[in-house]
Amino acid sequence: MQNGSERELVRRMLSGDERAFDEFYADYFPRLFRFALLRVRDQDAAEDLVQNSLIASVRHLGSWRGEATLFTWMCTICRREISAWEKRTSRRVTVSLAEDEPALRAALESIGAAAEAPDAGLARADTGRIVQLVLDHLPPRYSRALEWKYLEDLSVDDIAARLQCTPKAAESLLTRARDSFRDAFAAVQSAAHEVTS
Amino acid sequence: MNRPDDPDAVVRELLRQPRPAEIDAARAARVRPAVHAAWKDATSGAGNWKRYLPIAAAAVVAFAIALTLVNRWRDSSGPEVPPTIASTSFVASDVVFHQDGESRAGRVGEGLGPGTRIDTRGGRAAIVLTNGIELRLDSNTDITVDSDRNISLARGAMYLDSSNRTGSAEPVAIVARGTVIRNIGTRYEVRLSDQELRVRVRDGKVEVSSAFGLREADRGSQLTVTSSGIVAGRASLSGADWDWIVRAVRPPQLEGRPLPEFLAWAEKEGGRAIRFADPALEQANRATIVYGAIDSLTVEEALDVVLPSCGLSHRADGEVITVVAADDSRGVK
Repeated sequence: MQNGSERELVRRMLSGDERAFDEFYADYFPRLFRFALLRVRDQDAAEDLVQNSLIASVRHLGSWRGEATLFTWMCTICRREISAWEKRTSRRVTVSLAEDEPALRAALESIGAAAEAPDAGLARADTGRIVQLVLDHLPPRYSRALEWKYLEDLSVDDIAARLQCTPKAAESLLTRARDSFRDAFAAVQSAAHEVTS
Repeated sequence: MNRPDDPDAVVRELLRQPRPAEIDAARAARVRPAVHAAWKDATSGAGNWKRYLPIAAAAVVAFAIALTLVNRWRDSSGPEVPPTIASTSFVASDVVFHQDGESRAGRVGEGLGPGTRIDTRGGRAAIVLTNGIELRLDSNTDITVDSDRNISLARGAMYLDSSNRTGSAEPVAIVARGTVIRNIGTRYEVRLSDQELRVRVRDGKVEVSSAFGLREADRGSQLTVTSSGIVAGRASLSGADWDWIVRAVRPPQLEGRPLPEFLAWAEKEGGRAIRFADPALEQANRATIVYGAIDSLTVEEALDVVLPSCGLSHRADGEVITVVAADDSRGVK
């Protein structure tokens, strides 16, 4: 999974680029909120936890080395916040999570948490949930490009314009995004099946 | 039905599956100001780092050499001292400090490191940041001192007084439930309840950044942030609901001090201007010495106790207190 664009985003953020912050916030707030909500099952608590996690993330952005994706790194911060929140509130809502290869770890944890959650609607990882999970873990440019193409039916030229690249580069990115999505979806679906069966 | 060899169709169908509901935009808007403020703080001046790279490199080398020498010199078994970003100037009753996973009773004169959480419970406390800004904490208040420029308010009320600030004019950001309050040379109170966040400005100007945009409040005004919006209004500068700020600091030691010093304290803490009825009376009392103690008294109570001992009294007229000769005060106070 490439994270060159994430490195660029972080570089721009560290230089104080306001538009980079806007992109960062628009991309990662919803993802991290879904990540936290799935674990704490409380919208207000998730909001507080995500706020703390994002604050910690932007304060320590310079320490992100790009070894994991930016989102995976932020999930690690969020896990720590959740753990501290559990201690503060004496609540224990998260569960022991399955471990697998690093690229799938966050996804498997989400599914594992859902499987043991009391809400029957989340007891099984449905297709829509898995699609969202995979999109959340793909590089933001991949997710956006896929949604523009397959949900908004934008042309490659339009996508290239939005990505500020050539149509050829956009086509190439779409191919990589589609392949990454299919591979990740298959892997997560398989892991979800193992956890829930 | 999709053909398995048509990747476009497979991906299209998957992406069009019903997915979890979109996240409430109001939540994203609420959280954004605090994250943005933290980001701005973290990156301030970052754009110029290359210019200072050679200097920084030389400084690092010099620091490393100095550190080696210092480490050789000092007792190697000595404990590491965390950086101090604030100190406690007042503690009353059962205030608890939490730091590095440990809890302890708060003590006056204690240095506080980054991340210290203070829960005043039934007591009150005051701390002074390294830049001289004073924070007074009401009872049932829970704050975390993230740094000398960032304070998180989780519950209760705090009063910020930057009149003794030293060094950088960089404001202190108080973050409370997604709203960021910054002082612009001022004294103000922030009170957070389950229903609302209220900011009352006694002096100077305050900038309030919330999900509902950026607003400024100046002397005598207040902003109330609720889940549905932000409301501006007028705030009283004095009165009983300000009394707690005097009880959250060490009372001044007035025994043997000049009367003007007491009146300056009463004016600052009480929020009302204090004037003598006439210049001759002021001149006559310039060297008057105050005796006694005003511990645990409100400003109004202190005026009632101290002025008669000096042959004076006072009358209140709106936001102004006039000091008069005791003889003149009959029937007017």
